[in-house]
Amino acid sequence: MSAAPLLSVENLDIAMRLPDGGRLPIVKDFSLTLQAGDTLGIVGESGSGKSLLSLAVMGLLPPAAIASGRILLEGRDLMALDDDGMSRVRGRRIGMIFQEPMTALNPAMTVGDQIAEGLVRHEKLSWKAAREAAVDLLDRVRIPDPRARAKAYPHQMSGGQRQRVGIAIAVAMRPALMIADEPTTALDVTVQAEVLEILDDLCAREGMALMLISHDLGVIARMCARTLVLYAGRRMEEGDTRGVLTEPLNPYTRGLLRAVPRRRVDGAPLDTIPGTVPGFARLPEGCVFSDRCGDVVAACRAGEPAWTQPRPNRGVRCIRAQQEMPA
Amino acid sequence: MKTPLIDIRRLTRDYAGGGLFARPSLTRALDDLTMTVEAGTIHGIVGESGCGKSTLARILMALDRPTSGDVILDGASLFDLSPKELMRKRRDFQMVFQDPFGSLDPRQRVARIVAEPLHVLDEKPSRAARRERVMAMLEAVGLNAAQAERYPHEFSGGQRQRIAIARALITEPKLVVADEAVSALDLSVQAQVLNLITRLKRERGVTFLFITHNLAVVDAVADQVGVMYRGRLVESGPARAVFERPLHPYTRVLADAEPSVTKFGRPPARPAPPAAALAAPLTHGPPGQGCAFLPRCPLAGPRCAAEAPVLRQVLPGRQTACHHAEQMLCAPA
Ligand SMILES: Nc1ncnc2c1ncn2[C@@H]1O[C@H](COP(=O)(O)OP(=O)(O)OP(=O)(O)O)[C@@H](O)[C@H]1O
Ligand SMILES: Nc1ncnc2c1ncn2[C@@H]1O[C@H](COP(=O)(O)OP(=O)(O)O)[C@@H](O)[C@H]1O
Ligand code: SF4
Ligand code: SF4
Ligand SMILES: [Mg+2]
Ligand SMILES: [Mg+2]
Repeated sequence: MSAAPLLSVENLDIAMRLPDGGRLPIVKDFSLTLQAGDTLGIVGESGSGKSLLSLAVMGLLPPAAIASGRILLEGRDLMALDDDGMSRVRGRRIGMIFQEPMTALNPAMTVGDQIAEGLVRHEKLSWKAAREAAVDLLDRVRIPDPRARAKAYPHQMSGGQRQRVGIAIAVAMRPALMIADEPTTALDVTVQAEVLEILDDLCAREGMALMLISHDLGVIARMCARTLVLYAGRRMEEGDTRGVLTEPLNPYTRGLLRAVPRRRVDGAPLDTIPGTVPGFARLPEGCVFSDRCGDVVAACRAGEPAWTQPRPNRGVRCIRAQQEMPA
Repeated sequence: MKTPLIDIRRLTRDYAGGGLFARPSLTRALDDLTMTVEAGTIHGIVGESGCGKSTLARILMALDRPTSGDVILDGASLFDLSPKELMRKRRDFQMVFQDPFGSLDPRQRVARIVAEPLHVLDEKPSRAARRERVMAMLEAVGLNAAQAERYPHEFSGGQRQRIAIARALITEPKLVVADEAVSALDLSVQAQVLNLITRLKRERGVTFLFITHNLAVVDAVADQVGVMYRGRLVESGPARAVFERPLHPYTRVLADAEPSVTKFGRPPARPAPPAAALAAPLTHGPPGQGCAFLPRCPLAGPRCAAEAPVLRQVLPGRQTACHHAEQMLCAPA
């Protein structure tokens, strides 16, 4: 295998099957490429499809989801794998840190054993060695008194501590690709800084690729070389993180940046993006952001803007950004 | 001086960890914590995971009892109230939990969940009035009328958090304790909710105890802020002043660790924490001798090991529990 990227997602569409037999398209025209060691941030509002995207890559889409397109990991078509094959890939090649630590943890098993389990199953370690490794991992994610805490059950830990257990479980397998869905949202800044450093080290030293989903633009700035902005299941903008955050091309990205919390000296309210994310059943005509966009013009409603690449390594979906870019 | 809405007096809460682990142990989640919250203010509480923020919130909601100490809520000692008095009081005190998944009934439609606190009001509004308030509240948190008829599991994490916020605010309580209530929200909705909170404070005099690890969020809305470390209050004062010029080394550590859209890539290497810092458990046992922050503190001196610093006023309105706070006064910001 010569230059096959680590992960390539090609023209992925995901729709949800409705009870009445219809289908509701959610993710549309999604593509991305990740090489070993790449760090990609995915930003998008709640309900924009970020979790569905990561579940698709993990082969964990809910039964009601219908996906089309291709997802290739190291050249292998994941959508063609059966459940067994996919579960092997998931255990060994792709790790995932979930947004909601409680849903990912087994309430009836000690956290140490939950970390050890994967090592026993996939790395063929003995339970004794795996439990020892689990204590080390708990220490690495800065759980105090790891040897005693390994014997605790999830409900005996604070929210932030549970999230760190989830991270230890994912890191244990040294995956080639780590998908982290809001991994540090529940963590305080000092622990967050440590967790980000652990992930950063894995990328820099061991070539792990990271797909980091977060609504915290600061975390993305800290961690990701590239950033992709998602809205209503569509890529709105992609590029190097500094470029996207300092010279956004899409009005939606600009709106997000303006909404970053900060103290207003004049006591004025924080800037918001007017309106709410439309349901997928009621997307506006044309550009999906047109009902909230401050820059909207008639042409925006005529048809959905295509994904364009105005510069090398920079993509945008916006009619106006397209027109205003020097050719 | 007016009486504060919440008067927290020397609150200590020990959790017994015995039996489950090899040796019985005590976790002191709150350690002699004293603070007051004035009515009609937004009072931020920041501090790292496990420092006791949620324990404090649970005690204020009377969901848990302290090992020692007292909470005077609106003039009455919280733990002297009869169950009936407590019930009555509860209406004025709402809480938004850190984990919205556990707190939303999966079998109820969103409209019903949000309306629920209205049913215990002495003067229950009419059906139409209830409906109107629910819709206005949902809109205020960025949800729409169609979504009111759906069930919690049909929503994403951020959306469920907003449902929980709408439910807590619908009775227009006097006090809302919000435990990491906006951390999981998207920027735009977060800004909407923060604006809503500011508006409720300004227009209706609602008091908020706003617990979060996100300093920028506290800085954006809070009047006052308390910084907690291992169950203790280590710094307090007006939010703006505290963040502009921290008077406790821990507050500075927090501010430096906070990611920002203007800081790209790995932060400059910090001096490695001394080995003792890594060995020190994050929660502490019975009160030790010296300062709990010592193992991580760049300003530590001999006195810090011998004597635990008490909270003291260093500038008008500014309190800190650090022997060397004066050094931070002269240090460059
Ligand atoms: N099992 C399901 N059945 C029906 N609809 C679903 C299901 N899972 C997700 N959806 C819908 O798909 C959309 C995308 O959901 P997803 O969970 O990916 O959002 P998200 O971007 O991760 O949001 P958040 O950051 O708040 O978790 C939402 O509109 C959601 O309501
Ligand atoms: N029910 C419990 N049993 C034992 N220990 C607990 C319990 N609840 C909390 N703790 C411990 O008390 C400390 C403070 O917890 P908590 O108040 O939940 O922290 P946070 O500031 O993250 O919200 C933590 O060390 C936690 O592990
Ligand atoms: S295409 Fe039009 S509506 Fe869409 S983001 Fe661009 S300017 Fe706004
Ligand atoms: S009292 Fe000493 S150890 Fe504690 S914070 Fe102040 S300088 Fe640091
Ligand atoms: Mg999600
Ligand atoms: Mg908590």
